Amino acid sequence: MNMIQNPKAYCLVFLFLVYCLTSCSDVKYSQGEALYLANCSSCHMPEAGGVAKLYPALNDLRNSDVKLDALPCIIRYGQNKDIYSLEMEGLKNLSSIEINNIINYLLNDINGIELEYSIDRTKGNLQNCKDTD
Amino acid sequence: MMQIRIIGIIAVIGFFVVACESKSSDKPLPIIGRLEIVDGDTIHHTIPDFEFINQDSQLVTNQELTEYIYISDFFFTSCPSICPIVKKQMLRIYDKYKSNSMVKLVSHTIDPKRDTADKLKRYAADLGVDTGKWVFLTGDKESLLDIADAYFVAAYEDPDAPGGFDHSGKIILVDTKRQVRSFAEGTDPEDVDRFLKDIDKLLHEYDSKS
Ligand code: HEC
Repeated sequence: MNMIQNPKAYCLVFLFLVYCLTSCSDVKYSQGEALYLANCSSCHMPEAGGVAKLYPALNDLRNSDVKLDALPCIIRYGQNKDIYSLEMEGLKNLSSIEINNIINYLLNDINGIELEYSIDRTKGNLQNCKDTD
Repeated sequence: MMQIRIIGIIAVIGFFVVACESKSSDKPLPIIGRLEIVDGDTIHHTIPDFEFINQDSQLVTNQELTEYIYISDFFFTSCPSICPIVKKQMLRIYDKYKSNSMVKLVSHTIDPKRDTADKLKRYAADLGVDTGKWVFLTGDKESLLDIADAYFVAAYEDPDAPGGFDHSGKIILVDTKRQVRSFAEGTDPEDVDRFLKDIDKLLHEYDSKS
């Protein structure tokens, strides 16, 4: 049977396109993405754009005051800066590896900062949290 | 073969025609809630009298709202779950009707212990909104939880829920007669798209009268 007239062929092409659209997104740190969506996106929004000044945006870390070495501590122990009316509580249930995944997702996939934040860096920073705040 | 294809095409077109038609219907918005018949008159559900305190510690009652249609929601500032997402949608609504003097927004906290007037004032400032247009209410906890019920919003204290309260992220549209006319699921931007059309439709009711 001629390919063009075969509805099965259309079906296959269609399924292939759907498959592409859903799977061809090029997130580098997909575990970090899943963890971000589950733990952070409700406040910082799925695309990390935040909500006004209430929930700070995390998609412009290059131009923010947040230091990269402070990220693990903020995630585990939260933050309460005077410039924000709300407080962020720490997410104590996340392991250092999960925190590391989230940071890499934020830096590489959200902010386009090509930097592999090592697990040692995350662990080291977590050990020094008390000093930074 | 050919027939099947034609039937398929007709089915697809038919689907769109039906779908579009039901969306752009010109029926007025319903009045939501139970009807009561009192002395032969039908009485619609209305938002009961209330007295709350706004972000400037001023008393606010229904009286201040009778000339407006308003969009209402329930939240608390320390809410870790759905509130920020709902607020983002409320902000969309605010932005769309910023210059329409007929429209107000009314957010109620359900955690008055932590959400004092001062706290709400800072919250509104961080949200960057004009509190003349978008008021934030606090007050007696029982009254706040009770009024949620009148807006058909489930809200209650629950130590096991994130942040200590369980509540739905509904956004509610109320007309000048205190009647509930539409809802949106505040966590679903597409549902809010539809809701914005409902607000336009309600505003239209007032255009045609004046
Ligand atoms: C319950 C809401 C909430 C959740 C969930 C949340 N945050 Fe936050 N986050 C905030 C708030 C509010 C602030 C501002 C806190 C302050 O300094 O007062 C903040 C601040 C931050 C900052 C510092 C931003 C700055 O400009 O100072 C970072 C980084 C951050 N959050 C990352 C995360 C990550 C990563 C997650 C998920 C693991 C997360 N947050 C989950 C509410 C939240």
